[in-house]
Amino acid sequence: MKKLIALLFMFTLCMAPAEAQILKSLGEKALKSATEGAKNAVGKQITKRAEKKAESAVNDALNKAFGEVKEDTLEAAAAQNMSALGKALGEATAAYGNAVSGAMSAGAANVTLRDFSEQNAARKEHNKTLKFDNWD
Amino acid sequence: MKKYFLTLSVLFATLPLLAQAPYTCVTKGAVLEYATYNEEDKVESYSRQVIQDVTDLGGGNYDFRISNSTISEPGEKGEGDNAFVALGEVREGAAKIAISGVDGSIDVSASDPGITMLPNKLAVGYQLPIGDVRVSMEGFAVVATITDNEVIDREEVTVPAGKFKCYVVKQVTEMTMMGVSAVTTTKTWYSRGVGVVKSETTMGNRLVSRNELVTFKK
Repeated sequence: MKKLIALLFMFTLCMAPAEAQILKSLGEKALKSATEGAKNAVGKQITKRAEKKAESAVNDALNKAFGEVKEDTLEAAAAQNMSALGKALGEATAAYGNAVSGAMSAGAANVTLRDFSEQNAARKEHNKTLKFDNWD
Repeated sequence: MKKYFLTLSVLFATLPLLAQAPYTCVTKGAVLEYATYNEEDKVESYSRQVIQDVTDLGGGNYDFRISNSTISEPGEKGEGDNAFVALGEVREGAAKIAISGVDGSIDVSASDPGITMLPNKLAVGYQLPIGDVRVSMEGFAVVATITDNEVIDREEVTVPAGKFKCYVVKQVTEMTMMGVSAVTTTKTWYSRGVGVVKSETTMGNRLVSRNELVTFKK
């Protein structure tokens, strides 16, 4: 996430003076970073299906937010003093957050709760050795 | 989002109340008000729980309703804000909560249903169940692992609501969110016929939050 924000911040800083190609390149990096970030964030705790869903959601959201990174869009945005891309960045960041939390949630919903019956049986046995009184 | 976290925190505070009697309040009309203190030990908020209805089904089984809300100060009139009702079922084994007053509902499931329950006989050294707990709410789900759950002490504790004889339960929880893992340790003081009297949550050596019972009327 930090990496993504740093990239997006760099992206924002570069927008006014940068040429369209630089913007495009940074946009692609941000997209890649966001996708990787989503995968890392959800980690191994979710199923492959949820991971793919996250990746796909991030890709879709960012592609939409960046207007498919078209040269003319970027040039126009630069000319408009960042406003269009600034908005797109905000939407992309929000979309990223939603995608990650959604995927993580999907993962949590799919996680099979582990079996602790052995440990808990031992704990129950331990409790049999205790002395109970009527202290309270 | 704030409402979500508020509801979640109240839910976790409510979970132990699903315990079998008598380490919970099963008196209809009882009012429990809590103060939540922040890391600087300043009051951050107040909350109120009202036991609206209790049905004793026998054998330590109960159906009950707990009205939860945030209030600006203890004794405040009215229903308070962010009100919702927890519908509790305590049965041998499974505990399930459905929440009204918020969008959607809350479901709690655990690898060992005993995690959300407290026996009616305790002793220092008593080991409560450990395992995974999943809380689903408003389309969002989290899974936490209770790695330690044990009665570590018993003492008479004084809080603004009075002096109570309590057993102290230490619970260690591991949770991973957004790729970041957090381990919290919560010590909770339980009193017969009351439920939670006090709780303290720490991360490492840092106190994260503290709750104390400031009003208890029944």
